[in-house]
Amino acid sequence: MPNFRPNIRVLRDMKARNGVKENEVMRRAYLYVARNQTLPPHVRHQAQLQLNALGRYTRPTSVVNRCTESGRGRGVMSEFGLCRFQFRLKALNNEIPGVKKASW
Amino acid sequence: MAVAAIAPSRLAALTKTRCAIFKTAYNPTSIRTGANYFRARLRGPSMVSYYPQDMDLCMPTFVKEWPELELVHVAEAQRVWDVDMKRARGKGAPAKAKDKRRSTVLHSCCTHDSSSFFLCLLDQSRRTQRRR
Repeated sequence: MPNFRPNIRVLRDMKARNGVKENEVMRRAYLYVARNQTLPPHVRHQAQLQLNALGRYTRPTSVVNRCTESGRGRGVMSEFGLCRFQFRLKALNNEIPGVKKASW
Repeated sequence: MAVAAIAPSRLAALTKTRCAIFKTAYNPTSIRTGANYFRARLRGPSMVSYYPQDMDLCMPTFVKEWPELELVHVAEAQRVWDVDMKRARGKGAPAKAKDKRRSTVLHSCCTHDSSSFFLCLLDQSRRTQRRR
C-alpha cells in the first residue's frame, strides 16, 4: 500500500488542525470572557476583539475532514475518513473490517 | 380548604439549598457565565491525529514550513547529495560569475563586432546541416 500523499488542500487542513490545537486553550479563555454576561461590557468587547484577531487557522470551523486516501473534500464518510470511491475500493478489497458488499 | 400560595422567596431558597446539596451553580436568572467553554473537552488532539502519520511528502515548501517536525524531502536530499558528489569529483557546475562581463562565453565576439558574431553562428549552422 502506498504512503499517504497529501495534496495542497490536505496540507492546508493539517495546518488548520495544528493551529487549532495550539490555540485552543487561549481561544477558550477568550470565549469564556467574551460570552460571560456577568463581566463588564468593555472587558467582553476586548476579549471579542482578541478572538477576532486570532487568525484563520485557529478556528475549529476551518478544519474540514478530507479523504485520508485521496484528499477529496466532498462525499467523505466521517466514520471511515474516506471518500465514497475510496471507501468502495477498500471495501471491495476487504480492507475495512466489518464492511462487505450487500445485495438484496 | 384552600392551599396557601408558596412565597417566591421560599421557592428561591429551596432552589438555592438544592444547588448547595447537589453542587450545581445557583443561577436563577439563567445568566450566561461562559462556563460551558471550560466544561467542553479539548478537541485539538483528536483533530491532529486525523490523517495517517506515514506520509509521502513531496512538497519542499511543506517541509520548510514545519522545521520542528524534522521532515526530510527525499528527492531534494538526493539531488543535493548528487550535486555534492559531482562537485567533489570536480564535475560540478562552474561558479556563478562575479559580473556581467564574465557571465557569457560569447562576450568577446559580441562586443567587437556583432555582425561577425552572427556570421559565426550562420557558419556553424551550415556546418551542422552538412553533417546531417
